[in-house]
Amino acid sequence: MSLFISQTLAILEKDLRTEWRTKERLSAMAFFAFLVVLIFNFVFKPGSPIMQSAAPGIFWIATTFAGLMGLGRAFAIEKQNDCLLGLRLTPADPGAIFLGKMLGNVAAMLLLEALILPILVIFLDIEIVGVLPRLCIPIILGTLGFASVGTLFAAMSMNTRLQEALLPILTLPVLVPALLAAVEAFHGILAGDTLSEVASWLQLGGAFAGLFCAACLLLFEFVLED
Amino acid sequence: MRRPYIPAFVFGILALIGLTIAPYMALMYAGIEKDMGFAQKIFYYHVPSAFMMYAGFSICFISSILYLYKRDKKYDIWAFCGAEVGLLFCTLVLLTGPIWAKPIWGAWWVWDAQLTLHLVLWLIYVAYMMLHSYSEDSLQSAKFRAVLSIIGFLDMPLIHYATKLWRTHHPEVIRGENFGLPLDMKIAFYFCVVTFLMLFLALLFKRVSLEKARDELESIKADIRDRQTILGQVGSE
Amino acid sequence: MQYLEYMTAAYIIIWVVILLYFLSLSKREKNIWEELQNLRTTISRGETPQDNV
Repeated sequence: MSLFISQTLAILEKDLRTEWRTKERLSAMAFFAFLVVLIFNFVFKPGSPIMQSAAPGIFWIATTFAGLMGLGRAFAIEKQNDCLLGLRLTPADPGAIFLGKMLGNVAAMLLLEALILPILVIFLDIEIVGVLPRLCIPIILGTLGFASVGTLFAAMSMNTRLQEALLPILTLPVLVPALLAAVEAFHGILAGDTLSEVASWLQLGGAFAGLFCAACLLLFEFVLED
Repeated sequence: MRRPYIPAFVFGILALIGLTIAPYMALMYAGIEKDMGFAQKIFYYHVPSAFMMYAGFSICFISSILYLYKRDKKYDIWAFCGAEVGLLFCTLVLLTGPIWAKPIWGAWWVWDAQLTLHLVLWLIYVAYMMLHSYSEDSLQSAKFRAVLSIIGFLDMPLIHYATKLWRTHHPEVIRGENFGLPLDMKIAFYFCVVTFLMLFLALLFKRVSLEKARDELESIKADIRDRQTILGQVGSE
Repeated sequence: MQYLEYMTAAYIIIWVVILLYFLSLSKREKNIWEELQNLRTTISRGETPQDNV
């Protein structure tokens, strides 16, 4: 068990260190998410009440699209440098490789979300200061669900002719329950609901994250092997 | 000489018999529903199609697990064909759903929980087909498709729950459920279910035999190519 | 006769889609058998099949 954990941490550390050196993927993701939020503002009339109620949706759309882009780039770089082949040759457990990569993606996504939230507050004029602790729960659950399925499918789509283009096609339909749960819980909490009022959405998000973290961890070895 | 694939042939004949009687059962034998008129009769084909869609996707799921466990190509063939025929029936559900919805609820698409679930499933299995089309290595493609099929199938109850919860939070349309059908409608319905089952099995077995034949042809061609390469190498020495 | 046209449209679509699928399967099966037959005759004549095999 401790071997598994240390393998996971080793891979996580390698990914975080690589990303921190260049920061190119993170900055591209952040800028892309910012642009998505900006474009949505042009879709609605300035100052209309629809924009405030659309805030959760805009947040998750920006996060999801930027996240998919980031996942695609991460595995494209790995494929370029034959890193996956190198990882396959190590005696590391495929589950540990998956968990390390997934947690690296979770970290990147959480950083991205922390950058996007203030942008949303500024552009859409929403009040999140009071509800921020409660808001963290659907954000974390949604990110975990997204990262688990996204990491698995990114590894798969890299080996096809379409590469990164296939990733959204594979991932988005599967993510529908997680996205619905995250958006609705975010919406409810923003409107002032307590945690027990959005409990059913949080349970759905938690069930999705739990089920798919486990399932993707077990299935990753089939994707990794040659 | 062509060998007819026997299960496909048998189910095909049964399906043909059923399909000639089914319209009579649906149109004449079953009574006309007072509110929905003739549009209600779409239900006799729409719901059995949905059942067969689930049958196809279930076969895909089970075969995918068996493939990952045993690595026998025949499981991959069954998984792929189950997905394809399931997707065919899913398309039928999505085509007939709006045609039923328009006269009953006034709009083509009302984000009904069930139909939304079926739409998401359609997207997942279209992605499955795209994985097949855009993969370069067939063994790897088989593994990837098996993984996607397992993930997609595990997702089904979650999508169902999510769409149901979503619709109860936004109740714009109240669905009139067909609870407690009168006997003549029940008989017609079950007849159509059995007919569609025969049709599903006929198409599935036919598709499997086609896929097996195609696979055999590819391996024969690969054999010939290998032999030509070897002969070419020997000849050049 | 209420909503008869909707029901007719739905039934026609179902039959057409299933028929098209069945015809497509039959056509592909016929092509495979033809190709197999061609390969057999080419090999039995003692020739080597073309390079685009």
